[in-house]
Amino acid sequence: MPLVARKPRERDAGPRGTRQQQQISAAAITMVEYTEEDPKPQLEEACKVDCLKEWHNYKACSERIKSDETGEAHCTGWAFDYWRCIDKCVAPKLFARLK
Amino acid sequence: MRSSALLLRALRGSGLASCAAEDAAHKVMPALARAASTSAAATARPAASWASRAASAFGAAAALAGLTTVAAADHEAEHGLDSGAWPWSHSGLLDSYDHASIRRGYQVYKQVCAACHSMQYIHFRDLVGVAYTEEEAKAMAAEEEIMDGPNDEGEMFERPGRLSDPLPAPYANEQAARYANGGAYPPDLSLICAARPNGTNYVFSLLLGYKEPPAGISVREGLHYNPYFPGGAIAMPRMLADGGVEYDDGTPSSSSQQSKDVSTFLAWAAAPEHDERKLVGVKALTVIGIMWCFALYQKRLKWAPLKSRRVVVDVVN
Repeated sequence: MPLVARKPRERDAGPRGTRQQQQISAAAITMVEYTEEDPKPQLEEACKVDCLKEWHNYKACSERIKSDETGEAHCTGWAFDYWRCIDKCVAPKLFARLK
Repeated sequence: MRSSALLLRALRGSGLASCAAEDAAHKVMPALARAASTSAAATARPAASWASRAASAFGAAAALAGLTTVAAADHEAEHGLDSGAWPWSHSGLLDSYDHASIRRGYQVYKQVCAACHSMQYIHFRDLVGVAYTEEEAKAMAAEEEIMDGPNDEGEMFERPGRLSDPLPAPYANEQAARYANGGAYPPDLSLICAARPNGTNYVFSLLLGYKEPPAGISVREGLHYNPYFPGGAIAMPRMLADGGVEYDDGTPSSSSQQSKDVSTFLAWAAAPEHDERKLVGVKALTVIGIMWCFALYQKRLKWAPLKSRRVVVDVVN
């Protein structure tokens, strides 16, 4: 197990600097920096690409109901599908960035 | 029509269930009337066979079934968007609460939620040993002015709070709370995580879930759109703002951080026995496991002579 883990690191050591530098940068990646800026909107933005299908469905619905005159038509269901998809994508990532 | 239906659902959430029930009853009436007329027709004809009577009974049953479907598929927002499953640090089988988070959550409650929501079942003493030391809790309680009495002269008086006092309520009674909040009643938060389906996740999602309403939905003046709230129109505005709370441990207070902490705090408030329960569970299962082995050994020991005997029927003559 250790052998497997060490191998790529030695291979990479040449062009990317010394091992010590690498360890420092690796530590910087794993260490979370807590900020006052809310990470949730950022993650939701990043998750939009995973939910394009739902987004297009919702957009299609909102186009469709423009011609509606009863005032009863709405796109809640499509919007829920989209938000559900976003939440599912955000859920595992958000808490890693919170204390 | 649409907004009035939404309003009805919003009101149902705040206790005016009778209006909503009436609303449902209006929808039900035609179906029931039809069912009644079918059965009346069946009884009017004396020659009606058993089969036709059965058919009319079936019709009534179908009408009832139809009624429930109508009620369930009424509106997508009826039960709110599902709050999902956030990876809580206490959700594992052997995980305890994050007590630093409970402490921060109390600060969020105190600085944000307590302006409108009471927590009548939580006392200052409950925080001792959970999120605060006894001295800290005593000092926090002493900062509050508590109405007590009557004294020897029959007068009510104010005194500094004690550990045995509940967290101070923002309003004297429900009427005062409704009057101050445009008719909506901010619910008591002591047991909110147990009182809502998927409570902790619901609170977390709801607090951060304010969005633009989807196409075709409009929300009445004074309400706000939140898909996680059953009906979608909630009286509470978004209360969490980045940096809006000052944590005593210096954690940067993003809105997500505040929501996570206050949800953990409310989860603890609704199930303060949680940590103890898991600990006792582990102990009990361990002891039961060991005792089970003893019992199994004892059973085999006692049964061994019976199990290993051989019955020989020896017929004499």
